[in-house]
Amino acid sequence: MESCHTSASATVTPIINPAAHKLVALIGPPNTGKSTLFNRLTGLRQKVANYPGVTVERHIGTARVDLTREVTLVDLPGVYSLDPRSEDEQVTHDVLEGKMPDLPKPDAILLILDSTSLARHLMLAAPVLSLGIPTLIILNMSDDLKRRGGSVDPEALAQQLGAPVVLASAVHGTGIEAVRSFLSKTIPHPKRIELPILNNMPSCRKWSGQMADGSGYNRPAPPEWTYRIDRIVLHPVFGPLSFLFVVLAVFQSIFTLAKPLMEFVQISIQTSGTWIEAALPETWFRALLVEGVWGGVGSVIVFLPQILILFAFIAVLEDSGYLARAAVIADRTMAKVGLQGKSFIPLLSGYACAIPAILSTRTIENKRDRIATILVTPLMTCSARLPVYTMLIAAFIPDRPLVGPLFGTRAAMMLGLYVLGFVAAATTARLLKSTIFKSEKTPFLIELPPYRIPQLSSILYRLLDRAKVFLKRASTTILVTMVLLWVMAHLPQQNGIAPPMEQSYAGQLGKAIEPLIAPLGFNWKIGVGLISSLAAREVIVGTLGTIYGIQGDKDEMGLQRALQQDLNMASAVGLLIFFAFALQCISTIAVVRRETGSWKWPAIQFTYMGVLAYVCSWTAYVVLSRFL
Amino acid sequence: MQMGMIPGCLVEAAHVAPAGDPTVYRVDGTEIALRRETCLHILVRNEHS
Repeated sequence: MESCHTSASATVTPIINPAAHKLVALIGPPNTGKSTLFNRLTGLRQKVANYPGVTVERHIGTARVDLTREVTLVDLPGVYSLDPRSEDEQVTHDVLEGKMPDLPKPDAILLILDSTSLARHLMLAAPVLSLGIPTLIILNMSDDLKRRGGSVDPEALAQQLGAPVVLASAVHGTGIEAVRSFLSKTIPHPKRIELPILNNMPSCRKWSGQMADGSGYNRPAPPEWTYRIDRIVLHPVFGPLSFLFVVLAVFQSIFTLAKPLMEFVQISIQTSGTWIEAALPETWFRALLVEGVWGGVGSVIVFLPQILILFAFIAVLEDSGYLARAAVIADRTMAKVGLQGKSFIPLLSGYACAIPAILSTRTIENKRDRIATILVTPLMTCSARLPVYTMLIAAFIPDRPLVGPLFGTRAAMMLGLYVLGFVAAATTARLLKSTIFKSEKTPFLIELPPYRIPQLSSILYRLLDRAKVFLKRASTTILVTMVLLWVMAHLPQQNGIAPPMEQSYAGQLGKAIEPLIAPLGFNWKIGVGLISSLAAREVIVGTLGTIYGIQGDKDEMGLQRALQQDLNMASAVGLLIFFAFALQCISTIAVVRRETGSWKWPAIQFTYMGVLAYVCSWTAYVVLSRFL
Repeated sequence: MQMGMIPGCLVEAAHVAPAGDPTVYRVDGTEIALRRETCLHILVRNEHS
């Protein structure tokens, strides 16, 4: 018997049986809270936010419906109708039709509609009910409906539709027990009712209006606050100004706000490193641990607070509903470069990380637009570049106030690099769209959700998940690269002692590529950093940390001083530009391969970004060397 | 169409993006942003209320 802390009750593990339904699909229009409900029921944490098109894949989870039974749920991308137009909608379609090889056809459906737009959303009920699959209709956001003075009689609606209806608020958890209790029983097949002609939208809309009216539906008052905020946010003068203000605030705070936190992490790592050094006997293992792991991986982990602050800002923007407005403001620019507004959200989320950004391109209906967006997305400044930028900026850019005392030169330089990434992405998109990806213009449509106050718990969970992803990267990709690098820096041994850095394998590797990078003003040490950063960009910080650490400088100031010896202003700017453009990320390459279905696109992407990085870095170095 | 823009519905222009395009329209209780080129395919009648 397994040891248990608790008494006899712990030994009686209830046997979990499947409930009446095997697989229940969550269907509904975009941004109605399907994933929020899914998370509520399963206890999982799929990403949720306040803009249409967050979920682009199917997610599977199990929900306990009572003490002994559970049911499998599949969360699907939002759809306005059952005929698919884009890749994410195709997923929903295929799951419903039972065309997914690894997933049986769902035997029940949870149809989630936004109760504040009920008259319109009921249009989706017609094709869903016509499938004849047992369906439970959930009218979500009931709290919003109530607050804005709307109401509906779920009983009457159920009567009319011939299917059960539950009023719920997934965010606040009301109505969830009712959903659970329906899932614990057998949901009835929908009764035969008169449905409109499915592919005739006007008649569907008329029908859904009648259904809503028949159930005593009082439309809620318009979201006045949303209108008020939008009058400022989309104002010709205040709109762009507030946009700029938000951006500047984000950049300054990733410096100012993060600084004390980063110093704290830095000191903790250093102190624990010293303890280890004192506690262990002097062996090669201690050296590896202190120099390779603590010095290398530690110098990357220092940037965790900064990355979390960036993500907190992004989460607030996403959850409040501002992101959809930003897409509207930026659409003109996107139109000029030939991309559609829908490409903006992937590009914007590319500021966090290219991988989810590339996944979110699935909402783009046009194949050519989608590949063009995928190809340029990694040029957006992802959070892995943040440590590299911060390290180089701290070493080479003096900190002076610029716009008042609040916005300084360093934040300005950082902002410049972010703008550079966007300009590069836009220019490349323009080039691609006017040459190999010429395509018909597709209509741009985006629904603007009402503003909502972001849920603190939702943001905290997202930060927690992000921290996990970051630490996982640090403890896998980065750790392996660091250990490998440390070993290579200590071999081949001469008479039992490690060779000087220059003659080690790592040094030789750097020396080997030195002729290639010398025109950019980089020496062999930077070369080692560049090679190791092919695995992941932030590895270069660790690599340089390790190289200089072995040479005796351990603290951050030491790293900065050492960098100042190896680089001058011109080559530092060149290095920043190199990192802005080069595709140094194994994970991105793998995702592009998966999403485009061939090695062709990742190969093209890697090459063009590499050439761009080299040429621009060289140009910057040559030009700046002349003037500085 | 599935978003509620169907023949005979009431369309109200709510906001114009700072750059002059797209425009946010209020249709059927929701707000949808449309580019000018898309709007060229939609026929509207002026109806002062």
